[in-house]
Order: sequence, then C-alpha cells, then structure tokens
Amino acid sequence: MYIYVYVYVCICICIYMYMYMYICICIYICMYMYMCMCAMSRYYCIILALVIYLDFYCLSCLTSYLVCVCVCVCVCVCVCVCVCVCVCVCVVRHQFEMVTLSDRLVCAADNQEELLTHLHHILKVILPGGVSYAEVGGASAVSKVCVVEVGGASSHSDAWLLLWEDGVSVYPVHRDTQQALRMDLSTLTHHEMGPSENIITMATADRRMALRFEEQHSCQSWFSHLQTALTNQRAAPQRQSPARRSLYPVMSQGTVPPAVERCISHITAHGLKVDGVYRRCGLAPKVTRLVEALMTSPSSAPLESDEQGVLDAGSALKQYVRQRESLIPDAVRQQWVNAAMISDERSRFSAYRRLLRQLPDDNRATLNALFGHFYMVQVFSQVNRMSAQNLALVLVPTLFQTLNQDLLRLTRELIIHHTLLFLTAERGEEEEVTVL
Amino acid sequence: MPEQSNDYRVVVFGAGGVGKSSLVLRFVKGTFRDTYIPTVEDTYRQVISCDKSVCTLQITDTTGSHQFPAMQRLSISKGHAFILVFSITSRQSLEELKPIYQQVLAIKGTVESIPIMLVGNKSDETAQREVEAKEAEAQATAWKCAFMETSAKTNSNVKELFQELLSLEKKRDMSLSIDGKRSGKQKRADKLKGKCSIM
Repeated sequence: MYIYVYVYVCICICIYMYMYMYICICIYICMYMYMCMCAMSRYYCIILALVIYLDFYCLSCLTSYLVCVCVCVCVCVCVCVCVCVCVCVCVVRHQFEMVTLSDRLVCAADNQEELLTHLHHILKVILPGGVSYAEVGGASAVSKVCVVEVGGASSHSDAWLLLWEDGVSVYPVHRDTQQALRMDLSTLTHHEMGPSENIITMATADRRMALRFEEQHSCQSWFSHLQTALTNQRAAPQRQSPARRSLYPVMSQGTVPPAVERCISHITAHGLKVDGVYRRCGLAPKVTRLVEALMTSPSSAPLESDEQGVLDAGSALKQYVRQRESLIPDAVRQQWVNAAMISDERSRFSAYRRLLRQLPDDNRATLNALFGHFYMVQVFSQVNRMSAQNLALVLVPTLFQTLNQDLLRLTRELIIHHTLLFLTAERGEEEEVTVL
Repeated sequence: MPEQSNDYRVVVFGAGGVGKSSLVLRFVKGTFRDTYIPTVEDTYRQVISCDKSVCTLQITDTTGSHQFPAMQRLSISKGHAFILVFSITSRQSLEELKPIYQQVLAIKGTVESIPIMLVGNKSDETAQREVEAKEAEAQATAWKCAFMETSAKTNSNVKELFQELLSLEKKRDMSLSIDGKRSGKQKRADKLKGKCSIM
C-alpha cells in the first residue's frame, strides 16, 4: 500500500518538476535571446535566469533568488555609476530596464516592492544629493541628459533627468555650479520629442527646457513614460504621494568641504581601477602643492587624471583630512572606541549610528561622502587590490591618528556597511540589520 | 620599555607596495606570500652573532604610506642601520626614497658611519623594469651607500642583503650565523599597541 503511495507521489513530483523545468527553460531562453544583443549584460542575465530556473525547479525558498538579484543589482550599480544613461521602470511586469552606453539590461523581481527597493538603491547611488524621497519613491524614469536649452538661453551641461509621479526634476552633474530645476507635471503646458536629434522639449507657463538624450531608445522610452505620467496625473490630479520625508534621513544636513568632494569625484572618475589606490603614495612635493591648493582654492587645484595623478590626489586627500580638525572629535573618540569593542554586531551597529547622529552635521556629511567613496573603491578591489580591510588599514591613521584592532574593524565596517550606517532611515532598524 | 643595549636595530623604509614586508618575511621566516596587505608596523627579532657573542637583530618593517611622520622620525633616531627599498618596476618608488633619505641625513647628521642599503626589489619582474641597475647604482653612489637588487619572490639576494648590511657596520663585528646554531625564534610584536601614546 505504502509503496503505491510512494510511487504515486514520486511520479507527481517528477511531472511537476518537468513542467517547472519546461517553463523555466522557456523563460531562460527568452531572456537569454533578448540579452544576447548586449554582450556585457548577458552574463548578469544568465545569473538571474539561472536563479529563476533553480527557484522553480527546486521549489526552494526565495533566499537564493534574493541573494542573486542583489548580486545582479550590485553589478548593475557598478556599471551604471560610470556609464548609466537611463533607468526606466515598468511596474506592471515588475521589472526595470537599465540602459548604458553599450548595453541594455532588464532586472526583474518577484513583486513591485522588492523591485522598487532595488531601484531606490540604484537611484541613491547615481543621483546626486538633495533628491527627496518623494522623487525617488515615485520615480518612473531617470536618464542622463544634456541640457541644451533652459529658459530661452542655450546651454551645454550634463544632468540627471528624473521623472516622478508629480513632476520632472533636473539634477546637474556639477552641483556646485548649477541649480537643480523642478517642474510640476500639472503646470506642464507643452511637451514634444524631436526624434531626429533625441531632444525632448518641455515648457511650463514661465519656463522652457530642451534636453538631449544620448541615444534614441532612452529618449523614446523616457517620453512614453512622460506621456503615461501625464495621463495618470490628469486621471487623478489630487493624489497624495507617500510621506515626503528626506531620502537621506541621517544625511539631511551638513556640507562636505569642496576639497574633499573634488578629490573624491576625481578619484571616482579616474582612479577606481588604479592598483593600490590610497595605499601607494603620491609624489611628495606634488602632494604638498596639491594640499596647499586644496586648502586655498579647491576648484582650481591641479589634479591630473593619469595613474600618478590619482595617487597624488589620494595622498592629498588623506593629508587634507589629517590636517583639518579631526572628523571624529577627540572628546568623543573614546565613545567610538568603546562602540567598536561591542561584540554583538547589531548593538555595535546601532551604537555607530547613534554616534554618527551625535556628530556635528558637517562632520557627518563629510564622513558619509568619504565612506561612500571608499565603498566604491573596494567594489573594484579585484582590480585595485584595495579591499575594505586594506583601505581600513591605510585610512585608520588618517581618521583617528592612531591605530588598533577595534578602530580597524570600525573603519572597515563603516566602509562595508556604508548604506546601512549612513543612509538608511532609523525606523525598521532591527529588520535591516538582519537582512544585511 | 627600555631597549636592550645590545639590540641591533635595522629599519626598512620604502614606498607602499614595493615589497618591504615580503623581503623581511622572506629573510625571517623564509616564506613568500603573494598577498596584498598593507603593513602598519611590525618588528621581528632574530639572534645573530656579534663580537664573538650574540645579540638580537631587530628588524622594523614600516608602513609605506607616510601615515605616522612622528613614528618615522622615532624609527630613524632609534635605528642603527637602514634598508631603503624601491621596486625596479616603479621609478616613482625610487623617487619616494629621497625624502626618507633626507630625513635620515637630517636626524643622524651624517651617514658616513651608518650602514644604509639601497635595495631594488622585484628583480624577477624584468619585463616591467623601469629602473635600470646603473641608475640605482648612481643614486647609491650619490648617497654613499651600497646597492643591491633582490627578489623576495624568488629568494634572490635576500640573505646576502642582510649579510652585506651587517658587514657595513664597522663598530661591531656581526654575522648572521651563530656557530651553526641559528635561533629561529622571532617575536612578531605589534609595536603600535604599546607605543601609540607617542602620537
């Protein structure tokens, strides 16, 4: 009797497995074919497709899938920071599309919430500071564009164009020289696309703006999202968007010294792949000159983009940080050391966050900028050999003027868990710690 | 912590990533690891023969990233002999030794009686060579010190380097071997832990 039941169950399982396999292979092949167009993205997509396949096949839990989606998203983030041109969301199918100069990548998730979480993380990385939560929370298309005309005057500057549920925002890449612009969808009087030059023109009663896209696909895609948003806007004009709190709750105030920002953006642009960046030293006389220039007029400090120039900039940044007032004031130094000695990870992290909150706004903003940058550097550790541990080793003396194992761990964790410690909202803290 | 008077202190200087730790580890432990881990400061001790007796050779492996200028000054003032390491694959690493040499000169006053070795490490990487032996020799002559090319990876000239350095010391008669019985006892001390109060 039992043996019959057993055989029956086995056969059932086999049939189910076979069906799932079949479905998954189909999905896999479809995705693969689609992604073949772009060589680089192909590999990420294979990972994604394989994971979906495995998930169906083994009927295993969501975990492995989540982990791999995270891997994919991380890779995407790396790619997009340098060359991302456009990110578009298609909420209906729970996927978003990412277009770079050379590739097109589609990221899918199980449900919308999960998808948006990933999207928000990507947007947080690519968009400059000052973006509100409402804008990112309601974002449907983001693209790197060239602003060719604004308010009648012609211009030529790179910016991130963000379409969200209530409006259109333009965030200049060079924040120090230009202001962010915002247009409400409800006030938009005119919009058109010039397909031949990939230019979208938008106008309100008092302002007119023309934006050129890098390539046609992003332009069309963005425009169709704009039209959808306008339709939605007309259908439900009084819709209340979710809580309009700041995207960077911990980070809402404070300014980063221009010298630090300049070095960071220089090294991000030219130095992420330089072997031993921040470990190898710059030319002493040049570094001294650079530090002087950074102290007096940061915007004109002569940074060079070759390998030596990057090492010089790295050394100069370290020296600049050392020479200024300590980012973690001496008075609270001991509290940081004590926090670093807590053995339980969760309590240690919440101690870090509490101490970060207590810091002066400017110090916190500067630390956030620095550690966000070091996080990016260690993402490339396969190439530059500067893992979080190595970076921590060479940076601890810069930050604390002393070195011990606890401070080393503190610095390493501030790098690795930068988003969690600096950028994540306080509420739901417990949950986030366990996820990471 | 008073230093023992018969300790002979050798300090290894050089830019980041030129192979200071690799050289020291090859000499002290006979091993080589192809990893990339920055050093803060490590001290190794080894017993050598000295004036028909024994003394401790204390090798200080420093950081290449100029992080602790005060500590660098302290190392120089306490050091008896210096090894200045550059990588033959990087002209820059030779350039970076110049300020260190100047500092040694400034602190010690004269380098006449101080054993200093200029070392071109990574001699196995001939394909990436940027500094010719002749150039380095010229630099060594200018600095009145000895020059040697080594490879910690292939264990070429490493022991010879330390032997040569000890032979340059005229005040004591030192040798690496102690009557066939070499004590391999070395103590790796995280010097920083005890001394960070100096900063």
